[in-house]
Amino acid sequence: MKKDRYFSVLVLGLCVFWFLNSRSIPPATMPGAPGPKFFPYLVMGCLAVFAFLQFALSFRHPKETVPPSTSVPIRPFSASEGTGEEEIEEASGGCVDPDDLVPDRRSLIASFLLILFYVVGIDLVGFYPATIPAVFFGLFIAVKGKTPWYRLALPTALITAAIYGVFTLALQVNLPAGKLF
Amino acid sequence: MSLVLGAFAQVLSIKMVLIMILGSFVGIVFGAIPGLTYSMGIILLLPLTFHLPPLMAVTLLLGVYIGGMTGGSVSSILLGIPGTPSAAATCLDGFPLSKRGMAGKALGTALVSSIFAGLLSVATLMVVAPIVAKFALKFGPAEIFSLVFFGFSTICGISMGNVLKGLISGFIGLLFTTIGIDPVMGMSRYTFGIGQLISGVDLLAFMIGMFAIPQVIKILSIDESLLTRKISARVSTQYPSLAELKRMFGLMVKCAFIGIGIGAIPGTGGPIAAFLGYDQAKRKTRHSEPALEGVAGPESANNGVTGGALIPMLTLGIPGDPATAILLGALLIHGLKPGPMLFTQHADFIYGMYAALIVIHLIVLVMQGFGIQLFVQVLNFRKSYLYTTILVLCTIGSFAVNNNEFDIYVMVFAGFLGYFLMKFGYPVAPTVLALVLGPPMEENFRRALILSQGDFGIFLNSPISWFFYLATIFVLAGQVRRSLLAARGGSVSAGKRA
Repeated sequence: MKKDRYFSVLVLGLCVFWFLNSRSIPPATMPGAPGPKFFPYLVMGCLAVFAFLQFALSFRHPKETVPPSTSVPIRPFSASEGTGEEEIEEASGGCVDPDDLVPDRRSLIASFLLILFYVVGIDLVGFYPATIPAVFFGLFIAVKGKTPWYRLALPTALITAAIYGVFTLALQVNLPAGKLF
Repeated sequence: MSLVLGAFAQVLSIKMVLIMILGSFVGIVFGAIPGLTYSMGIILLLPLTFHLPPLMAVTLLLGVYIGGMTGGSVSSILLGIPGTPSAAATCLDGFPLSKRGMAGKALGTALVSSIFAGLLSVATLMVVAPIVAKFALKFGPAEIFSLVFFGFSTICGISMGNVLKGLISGFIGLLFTTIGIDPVMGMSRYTFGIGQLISGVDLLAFMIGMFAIPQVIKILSIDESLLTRKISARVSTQYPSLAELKRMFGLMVKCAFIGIGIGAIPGTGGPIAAFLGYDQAKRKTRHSEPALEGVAGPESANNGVTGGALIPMLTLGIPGDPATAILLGALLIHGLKPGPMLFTQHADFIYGMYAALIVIHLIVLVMQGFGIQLFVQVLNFRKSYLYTTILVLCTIGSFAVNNNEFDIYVMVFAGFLGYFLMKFGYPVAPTVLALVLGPPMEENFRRALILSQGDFGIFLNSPISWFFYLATIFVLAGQVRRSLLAARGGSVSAGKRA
């Protein structure tokens, strides 16, 4: 499978990166005993071998494989094919596996960006000034235009207030203050 | 005897009972809502326990663990969507029973069999754990290394059926454990010029990221209506009759012990046990029609796992599943190092934990039995609100451990890594468990070599080490065989589809 091939190349790259960073580690000080480099080298070596094996196997097994988590198959509900509407109709008859649901690409990218901006925002402006827009945009991504944006203001306020009540007022947890203020 | 009475007196104080009620409630909610897992519940509640005494803290988290394992059946039966991976097998007969108007009966059977198996697993834990702990006192660095090695390889092997992917995922985790000060000589490694990495990657922040962030990303980016089926009807728990219980008793005992056995093997966990339990149920009923046995079997098996998974965690410091890995982290945060010495130095804590486990099961029985309508309402709650809140809780949790903003970045890095691992079909659990097992593995490996002055023969001198190496080979060989069979089966099915 192509996915496995790409992933094994990434893992091999990780091993090389780790190896290059091993050069600055000092050698063992006790004679005969392994030094601080020994275990990382061992792990890197094994990981590289496994990644190489995966790379090789990705050419040998182009066909799809099914994980054998059980001898009893779960009743089929495949959401990996077709649109969302077809899935829900099919689902009404059988079991749904949340892991099978296909994410919307734009929402996926937006989710990644939201988390990144949130974390950087916390670092720069502090916890609450970053949390309020993060909650709002989180809800905005999740509802996918089915709820008008102005109707998300109340849940945003309620969620932030609940967090303030529990963590700042009740538990008196220290939260990041932000570098800019 | 005085220890036992003292433990119950401690556990039955008002504060402890309230803590157990809170833990069980959160557990059932996290178990019941599809996409939320009890592992996530434990990790999100962990920061709240920092100011609590150790027993109270662990009791709260155990409440989430047991409540979550039991609560997973609610959405499996009512919605046909497993609340947790461990409840996937319950869905197979539970949901069809629900559609035939037997939802109450299925819920009652799931609850009774869960609590029965859970209590049986606690009893087994109480009997077996001290014996294992006594035996483990004889272990030196070489034996501990072989044991950790066994735990690690089974964790990697028994993961989504693909040994190689499990091993790669596990070794990626091991690579991250090499960041920071090395455990024997105290030298700094792989800090990449980042000062905060000298103390290594924070385990809790990494776990929060790995378990929660991929789910948050996933749920925010799918259409939440696909995970929402409104339940407007009033549901009540109907317990099985005496005749039904008598009919299923043998199956429940058998499946509970399957769960305990599976749980005690590091890295296995509830889903495998539950499907084996379902398999047993179908063998008993000998027909494909949905039956109460199809609910009792998997629920007994997955709840049997709870006590079983605590055996290696408490006695040897090796987590049985991701949830016990987090519990292990919680114990370490509270200054308690799991292992044989825990039983001699903190016997009062161990007995307190046993008593808490028993009381938690009873609380879950009452809470889920009488409060089912409340949990049904929780299922109707919008997922978008929940997951946005969880994102905020993740940042608080990862920051609050050390009051360090860098840990939030660690959490996000781990979350993105976890998402891509999942996306590429690699299990996340081995990476997390490797982070727990990596440091003792390296430390004991190097200590053994220092003791033997560099002679690798020390790893093969002891029969205990041999036992664990052979067990490793045995388990891995079995998994490789299963992987190959599955690959062959998968090829056939793929071919048919084409």
